Amino acid sequence: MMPRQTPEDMEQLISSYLDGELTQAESQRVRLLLEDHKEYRKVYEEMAKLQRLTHSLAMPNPPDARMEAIEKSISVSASRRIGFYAFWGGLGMWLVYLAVLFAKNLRMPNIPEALAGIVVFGLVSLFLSVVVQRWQEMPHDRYRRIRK
Amino acid sequence: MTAIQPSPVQELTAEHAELSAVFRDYNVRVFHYALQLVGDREDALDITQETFLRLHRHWNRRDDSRPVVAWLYAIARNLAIDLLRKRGTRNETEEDLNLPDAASVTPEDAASNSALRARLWTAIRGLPDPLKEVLLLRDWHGMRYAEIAEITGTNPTTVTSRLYEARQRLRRQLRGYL
Repeated sequence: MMPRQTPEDMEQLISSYLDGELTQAESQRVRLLLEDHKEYRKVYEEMAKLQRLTHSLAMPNPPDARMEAIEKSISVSASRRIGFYAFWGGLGMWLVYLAVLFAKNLRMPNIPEALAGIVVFGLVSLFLSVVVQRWQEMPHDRYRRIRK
Repeated sequence: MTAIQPSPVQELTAEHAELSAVFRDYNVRVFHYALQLVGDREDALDITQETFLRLHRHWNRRDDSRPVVAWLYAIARNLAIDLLRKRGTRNETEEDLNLPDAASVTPEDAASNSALRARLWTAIRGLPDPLKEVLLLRDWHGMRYAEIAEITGTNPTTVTSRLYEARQRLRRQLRGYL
């Protein structure tokens, strides 16, 4: 047997009914309650009006310029992460290169060889980051299809 | 057939595209939510920015089975709470919300909807924070109870009772105007 429900319990059900959060059986029960009881119908109508009014409260929109700046800051943060991976990836490749040199010659690479490794992997990383940056910007590039 | 694994750079580029889409879809909503919580436009803009940066930082921890919007709102809410704690008070300037001055509303004016909205907004601002946030998340932002529970760190039963309590208080305060 269902426990006896107070008027507050019924009004809480009406509140949830208004939000479409009840089960089918509960909704049916509330519909019958609203049909049979004028006072509950009034509660429902007042809650519904409150909901409509709350939904229509005006809020100022954020300034476009500031939103664009925020979007840009997220892009910058993304590019930094790509740069971060490129840096550590490059460093990793350079260490592998040094290890290969060491394994082949069984000696530590000399300074010119180590510097050459840094320069080559630096250039490769730079090239990759430029390609990635260009790739990211391509969808927003309005001049892409304009011939010189 | 083996699927081709995307490279880390491809993953980052895809992630950036996804984040941009989330930003475009939700930036205004997050700003409004932050403004409702802290009551100051500049602070709301800062919270919006920090929310999306944090989302970006933790993007790879997301759960694809759950909508991103609740996560986004939860981040904004935590930032707003931190800010209010630091500040120790809430700015509740009505200019920020583009509403008429509720104090000047007479019963005759209240017949018009704009005056009623001003009165309603004053009543909402007077609600305790847990009731106010649930009411705004449901009736202004259109969130489901489960989403509100996730954002506020409660459960749908608590949301149900808080929402009912908020509506009862508003009905009592606006008796004669509804």
